[in-house]
Amino acid sequence: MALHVLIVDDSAVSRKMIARTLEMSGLDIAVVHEAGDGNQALEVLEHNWMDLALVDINMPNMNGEELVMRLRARPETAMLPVVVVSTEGSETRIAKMHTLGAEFVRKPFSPEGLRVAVMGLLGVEDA
Amino acid sequence: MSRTLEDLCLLYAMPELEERLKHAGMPAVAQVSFSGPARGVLEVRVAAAVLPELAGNMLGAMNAPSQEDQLDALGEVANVVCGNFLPVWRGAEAVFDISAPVVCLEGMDAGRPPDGAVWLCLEQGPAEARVYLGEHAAS
Repeated sequence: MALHVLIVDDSAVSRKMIARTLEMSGLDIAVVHEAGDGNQALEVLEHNWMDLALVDINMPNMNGEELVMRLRARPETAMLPVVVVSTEGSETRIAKMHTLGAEFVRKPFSPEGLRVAVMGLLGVEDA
Repeated sequence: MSRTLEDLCLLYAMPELEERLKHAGMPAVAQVSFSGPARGVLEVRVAAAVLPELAGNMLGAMNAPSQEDQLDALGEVANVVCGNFLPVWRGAEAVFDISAPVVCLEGMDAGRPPDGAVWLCLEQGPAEARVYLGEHAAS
């Protein structure tokens, strides 16, 4: 199944790097949407179906943690698979993301690391 | 710092160039502020010639990235260095907030020596990470 992916990060370079890593991971990607913060992400999700969201933590306007909580509070996005990709990965924060049903990958991450996180989240066995 | 440059930017320290480049300037600066159990600022400074290679490697670009992308890339490096430094310094349990990077090509002077610094030399020029601790760490 080709994935519709949303990348949420305030850095355009970081979004491009994440998209490139996704491409290199071997995952089947149909389309990639981008958003610069949580508010923009919610706007994109209003109008587009997504199979997966990759979300940075430290962003202006609405950070990644708040975005994930908002996603979980809305019926239409409550089950959206989310991988938090961040430089700031305290055990406390990682645990909180896990309780919200999100996976966590620390920057910088490899294509293989991203693939494992996504496949685990989607419940798909990696061939 | 060196691990971030290697993993993120495919840039490697070259100790053999240190003597020749030890006085080279590093006008390109990215700053991130952090707050939580401690407050402060982390800076990454690089020689201007490092920027195109740094950004190009991060993006996998064949052509030199735009100046906007080069500055964004340096900011992302500062972000990653800070995010990896804080748990090593204060433990894996500590929760910090890291600000969006501020990047400048003309140098920023903190007005005081850093509380910690790591300097290394890349093929294109020197790079340094500096940490300033406290409420009014650096401007």
